[in-house]
Amino acid sequence: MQQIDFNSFFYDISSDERGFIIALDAVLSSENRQATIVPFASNYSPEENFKNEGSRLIDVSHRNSDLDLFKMRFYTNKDGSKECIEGQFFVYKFGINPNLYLAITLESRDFVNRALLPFIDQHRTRFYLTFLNQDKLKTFLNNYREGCGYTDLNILRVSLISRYANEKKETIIQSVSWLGLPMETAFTYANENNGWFKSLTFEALRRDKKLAQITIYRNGVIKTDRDMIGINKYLIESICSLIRDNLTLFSKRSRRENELAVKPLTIQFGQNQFSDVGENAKFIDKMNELSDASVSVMHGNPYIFLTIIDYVDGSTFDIWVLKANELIIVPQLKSTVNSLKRVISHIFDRYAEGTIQEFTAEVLL
Amino acid sequence: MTDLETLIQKKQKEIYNEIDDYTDSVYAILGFCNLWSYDKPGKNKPNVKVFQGRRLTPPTNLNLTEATSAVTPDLGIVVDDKNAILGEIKKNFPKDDSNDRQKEVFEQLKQYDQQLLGWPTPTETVDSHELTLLVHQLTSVYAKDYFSIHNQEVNFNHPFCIVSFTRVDQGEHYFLFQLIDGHPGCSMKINETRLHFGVPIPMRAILEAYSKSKIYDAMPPLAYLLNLMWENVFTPLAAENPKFQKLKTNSKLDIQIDVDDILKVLQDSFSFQCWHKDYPARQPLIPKREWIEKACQFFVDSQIGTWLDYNEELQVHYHKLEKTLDHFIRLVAEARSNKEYQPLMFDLNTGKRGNN
Repeated sequence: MQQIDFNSFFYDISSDERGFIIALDAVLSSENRQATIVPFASNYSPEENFKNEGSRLIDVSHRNSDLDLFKMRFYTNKDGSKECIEGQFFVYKFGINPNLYLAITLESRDFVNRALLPFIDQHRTRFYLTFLNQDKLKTFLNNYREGCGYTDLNILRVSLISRYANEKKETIIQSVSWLGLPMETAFTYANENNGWFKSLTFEALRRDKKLAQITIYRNGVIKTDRDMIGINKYLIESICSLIRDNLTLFSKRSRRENELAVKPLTIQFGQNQFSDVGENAKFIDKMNELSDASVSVMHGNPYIFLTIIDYVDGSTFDIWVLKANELIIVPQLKSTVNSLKRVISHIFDRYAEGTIQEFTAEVLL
Repeated sequence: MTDLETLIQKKQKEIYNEIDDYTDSVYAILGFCNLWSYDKPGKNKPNVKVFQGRRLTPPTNLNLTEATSAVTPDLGIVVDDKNAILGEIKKNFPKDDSNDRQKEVFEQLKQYDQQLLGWPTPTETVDSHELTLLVHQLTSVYAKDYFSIHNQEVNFNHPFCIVSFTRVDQGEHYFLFQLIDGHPGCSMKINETRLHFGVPIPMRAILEAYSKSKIYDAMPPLAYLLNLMWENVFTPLAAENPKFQKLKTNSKLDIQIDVDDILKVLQDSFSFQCWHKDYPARQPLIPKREWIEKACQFFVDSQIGTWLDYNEELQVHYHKLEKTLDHFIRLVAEARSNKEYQPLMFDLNTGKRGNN
């Protein structure tokens, strides 16, 4: 495969945001490449985040104020022989927010899926990625289509998570579909299948002309072969803004950070999700699937009261269902942004999506 | 299924019920006090003081020391530093008076039926106080019947009433409080009409309070306490160790902790201490040290912990349990069952079945 000269690319581009995006756009237009963009927030510097750990060897190749170039080598065993996957990626400080970054690479899918993304996932206590519920995803894509003046976004492929329920059991089914549908129809299809998109690949069309092929994932990762400028303006900025909003919402929730006061959050379902008591058991079943965690049922019927330990970092939460359309999360003594996000995205992924809101106490008469 | 396993499962159900009773009692304390103290979300009325487990004493008692004559009602409400209510929660009021169990409840209330000192007021006194017995709706009729029959005998000098509570579900979950008998005094009168028809307090309204006050001055079920310690004391401590994140489910991580540090976390974070910030005197520290020592001893007996310094410092063999509460309920149920089951086992020396 044709190699990108990352070093000269690094020196050619200016470090301001616009210059960087324009340079990337130009590379994608001239080379037959795919860019992968990982928007994330972190309290750590890129150098602290991307350091040698385990079987991944990482070096900083170059550095300037807002842009670092890293080289990662990942050794793995394949068919009994040692294999090395190697690639380079940029870490770019995004906007004026001190904690927002983009990790960007033009390397192969192999490097992205086997080296870079697993590294980020393994160190998820340091990296905060977002989650796009169906409403947000649809809004962002609509804004992108309208903002860039595209006639339609033709959905090529989706990874759909569907909930199928009978009286006793609820099953989560992940399916991959090739749709060839207009965007609006694809979202209707997901809705009808009681599902949500884990990823979605589409063509940006202006009349019948295909201008870019883009994949957007529920965690905010984007892959594209063109149109970095439009994607940056209408997708990446929106995703970063969502990350920023969630950081604000999820930060400083622990009782230790609030002089032992509690700062609950709610998930509003907009419908009477728990109107049937049988729903309680389904919800508890789904929560029991939360990996690397303890889920204890203090009370399961008619109201729900669970306590959760997140074994990734030791955060603890109480979860309550006291109204049919609402779930309440009470962070206890320790609660981190990543842990709160992990619990909420598990609920969205495995059970049902809702809107996250600040808890407001009842007004009594 | 073996007899022992059947017994263990029966005990597990009992423990779940005990935990439910305990949390309901906490909710009843919070909900009932809320009727007087609530002003607006997150704010209490400035002229109302509430307390739990406060030590009140008769002014002088020639026959008894203060320690033995002191009373510690489950709840207290003082309005305008003048009028007060003392309440006792008995979720499961005895259904009959065998072994004087019903009588004992009223005898306990009778101890509150005297002039008392130690109120959270500038003079430590109030002009008047009245008594309330809070019982679950399902057993309230037994309390009412007992009081009707033994009214003359009990003969309260202070106004007394019985209030029932129960959870109700009307799309939202509530605690319903209802006046079922007695003669409310001036403090209760504020809410008498509402209580007559039944006042529903949404559980949601007292959720924040419950999240901070999970233990009152009655010892919680052991499994509940073990779970609280595991989740909120041991886990954050273990998580400080760099090995925590990658700790496998079958591996252990030893952590050391002083009993006093466990106490401090639970007292600061999960008791009613937050109610008493402005009047901490006479408020016993909850949980009591002996409860925590007992819980630690259980960890030791279950080989989850080791005393580094008996009753002072514990080493916990921390591991990632899948369902902590279920785990501890099972352990407590096993311990209880083994004790009970012993007499049924064969004596190896005599070959006889039984405990002789």
